[in-house]
Amino acid sequence: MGRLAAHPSEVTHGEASLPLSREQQALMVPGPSPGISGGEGEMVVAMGVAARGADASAKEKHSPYVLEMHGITKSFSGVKVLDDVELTLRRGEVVALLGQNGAGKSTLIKILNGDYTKDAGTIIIDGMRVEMETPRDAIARGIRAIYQEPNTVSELSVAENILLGRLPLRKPRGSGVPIVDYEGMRREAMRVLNMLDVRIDPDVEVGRLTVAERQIVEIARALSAEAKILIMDEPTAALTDREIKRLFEVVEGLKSKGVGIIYISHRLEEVFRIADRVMVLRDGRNAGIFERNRFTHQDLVRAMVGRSLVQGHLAPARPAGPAILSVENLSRRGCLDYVSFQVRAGEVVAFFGLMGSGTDYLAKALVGAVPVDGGTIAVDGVPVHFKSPGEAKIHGIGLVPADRKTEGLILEMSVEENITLPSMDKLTRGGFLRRDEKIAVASRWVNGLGIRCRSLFQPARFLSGGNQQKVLLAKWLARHMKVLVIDEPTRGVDVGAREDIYGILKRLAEEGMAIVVLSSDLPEVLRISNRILVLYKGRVMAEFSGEDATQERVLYCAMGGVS
Amino acid sequence: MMIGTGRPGDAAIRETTQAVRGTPGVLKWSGTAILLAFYAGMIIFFSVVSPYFLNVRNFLNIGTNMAYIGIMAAGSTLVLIAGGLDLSVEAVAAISGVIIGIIYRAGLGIWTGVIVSIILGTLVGAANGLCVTRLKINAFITTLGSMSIVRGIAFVLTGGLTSSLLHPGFRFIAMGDVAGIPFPLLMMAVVFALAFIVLNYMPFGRSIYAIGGNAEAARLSGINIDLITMLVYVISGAAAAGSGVLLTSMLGASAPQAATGVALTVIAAVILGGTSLSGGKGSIWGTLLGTLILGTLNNGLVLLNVSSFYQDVARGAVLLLAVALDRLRERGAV
Ligand SMILES: Nc1ncnc2c1ncn2[C@@H]1O[C@H](COP(=O)(O)OP(=O)(O)O)[C@@H](O)[C@H]1O
Ligand SMILES: [Mg+2]
Repeated sequence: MGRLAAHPSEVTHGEASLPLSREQQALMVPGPSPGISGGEGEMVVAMGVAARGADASAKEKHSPYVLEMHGITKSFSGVKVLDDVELTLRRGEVVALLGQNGAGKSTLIKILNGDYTKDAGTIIIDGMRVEMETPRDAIARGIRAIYQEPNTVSELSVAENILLGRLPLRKPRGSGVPIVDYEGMRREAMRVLNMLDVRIDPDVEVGRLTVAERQIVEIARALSAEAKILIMDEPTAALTDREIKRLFEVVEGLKSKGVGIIYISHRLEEVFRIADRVMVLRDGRNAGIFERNRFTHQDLVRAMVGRSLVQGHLAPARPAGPAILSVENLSRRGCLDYVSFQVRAGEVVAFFGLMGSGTDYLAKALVGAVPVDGGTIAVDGVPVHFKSPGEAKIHGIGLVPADRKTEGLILEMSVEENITLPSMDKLTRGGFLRRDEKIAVASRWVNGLGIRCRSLFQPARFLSGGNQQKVLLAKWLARHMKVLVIDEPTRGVDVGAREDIYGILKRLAEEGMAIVVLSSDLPEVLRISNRILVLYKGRVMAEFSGEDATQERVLYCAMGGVS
Repeated sequence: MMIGTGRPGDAAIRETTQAVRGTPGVLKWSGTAILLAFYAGMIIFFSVVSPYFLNVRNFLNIGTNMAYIGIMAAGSTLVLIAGGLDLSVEAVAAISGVIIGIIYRAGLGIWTGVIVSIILGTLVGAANGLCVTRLKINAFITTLGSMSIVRGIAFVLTGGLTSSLLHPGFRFIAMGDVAGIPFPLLMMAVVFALAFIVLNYMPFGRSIYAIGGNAEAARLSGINIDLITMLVYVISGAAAAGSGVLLTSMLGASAPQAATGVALTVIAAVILGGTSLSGGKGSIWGTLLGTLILGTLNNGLVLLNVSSFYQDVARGAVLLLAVALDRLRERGAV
């Protein structure tokens, strides 16, 4: 406090002050204009806001684009994830960014947002070449990102969230100590909320708002900070149809204020409704740019799929066994919409769904790990009821969850203990664990699945992703389950281990297991399954047998297209 | 290879099995080794500076005086490994003495009192467990609350007064010995042996580690995490009550203020022994060593006539030092 009292002017004029116009801010930066250095004939601006001279604003008027990205290239440990990617965005324009899982959308956005540094390429904002080193740089240049999970502080009020990091200050009469100007804060919050034409009480705690309202608070924050570019990465995944409509109205309002918007979504209807242009990424490259009203669904899907071949089919031989798992009308408000299906012995049934489609919820619902509102599950034709994975296990259903580090493994525990964790109750004598039997079981599966580890007693943390994934499979194989539910079987797994895992699934099915795979990896789904069910907004939109499934058709349904 | 039907008897598999076996976790000493060295250093130091320190009788003394802490610490080890915390142990110990006193004076027999107090301890543990698992109240808050409630009831029941409790049979718990070994030490040994067996050789114990390591993974593996968490608190409550029986016998009185502040010493002993405050890691041997280190430190300082105020300082310093060493070791090893 002492410091604040001693240098009040410093504090009030710092970042924490009321949103000032950019000119005012530029005037207030002390000392010489920082860091303008010439590079290859173009101006490289090191500190966005302050360095906009008359020269730059003249240039601004000529460039129709608020953002240009040219030749963006990025590799992760030698693998090229983005290769010479172009993206342009006009003022007041919505560009939809489309692409399959792993196409590089998030990476591109993160480069723009200063989370990753690019290996090559240029970023031009308002006609000026800039370098994004940190997310702070991006914010300083008027770039804001909104993700599926709102990044708001639940304990603070709407107004405080809108002005987070820029709280207006005032000095009460007679004292030099600046305090938060709550009136000014409310006024500014009201101003931007009115601009967006939404009715949210600025005094209410954000924790009491819905996800949709929180996203609108984030948009208001961006507006208040005079963002020029708004990135929305799958913002609608968790919203209801009405909330989406509301969000789109807000987006229209932003457009009319000249904000450029990059919109990532997997839903064709949304793309058609809101996008002025669509940019498709495939395998880290540009795969097409489409102007509004100049493309069809098929154009987009074809661009997303490209010509990449599905390698050798790995589905089990045609299954003839009886239905092992029968699911009828499994439902959960907002997550699952009366899902019904059957899986026979020896069959691999794959659910394909993009982010927000509900595959993750379905996977957990199948083992009672999340609540459902209704529906029945039968195993071997007998209806079963369970409310926890422990009870599902008794009925022979086990789940390999999508995130092996946070949901699958006990990282500090040994390979042996992880493998035997679900079967401990079967490996006891008189209440005591049979050590030798436990070790024998674990080593049988370590050998059977080819899990590479230094010893059975090595903590699971030190295994590679592929081997960790095999440990998760081994957990349920050691208990001889009837039904195996596998969510994203090969996410983040190297190519070799991926082939191993496909081979394992095939053999397991051929030994009579019923296997349910849930995945957002299109080639994977096509390769390993006997049947494909497409999930969109929690509903089964289509079913394909292995033969009549093509990448285009499956993807089209998964994006909400009607087959 | 038919992966679903291979038997462990296969010669080929057995061969590779040997290759990947290695050393089981129970035999891993690296974490405890540094603590042992620390303890040895401490013993050498006190032996040099005090002529009364290094003899069998003094060591039996240390053990006897620390037994009631050790018993609580054994229970708390399970709680901490499961990722929880139990502050209510000290109040449960105190109310045990109070209950024994009331029942004894009501003429219902001292052993009835002992049994009732242990049942009460398990009930407090069950209440803690319910709050943590059902109401999802954080363990620190839950047990801080139950500590206050239980301690308060102990004061209400006694009007705040300490009353002496003289019963020759009951006195044996603190003062008796079997073949020259003090009874409290035997009690502690039994509790630690039980905890060791449970933690290492029973599915229940391994589930405790699993829950502390990653509760969601444990749940998806079909472990009933609520039930196990619940049981862990019940065990801690029972251990605290048993510890209270011993403490009451040592004091020869039921005192509502008994064991005030002991919960922190108990947690210090467990943490000193290498158990992680965030759960999933720890051993009962570590806790035994942690208890002995704290007890030995106290004893040595008393023998040196160091003021009890400084003893608190020393205890805190040792805790920080030992844990810091452990962290440094971990960072160096990984
Ligand atoms: N931090 C990272 N380290 C290594 N690889 C990554 C990282 N982030 C993304 N990738 C890889 O880059 C590719 C593109 O990922 P991403 O940009 O997330 O795609 P999208 O968002 O289109 O689904 C994927 O193959 C992914 O595995
Ligand atoms: Mg992404």
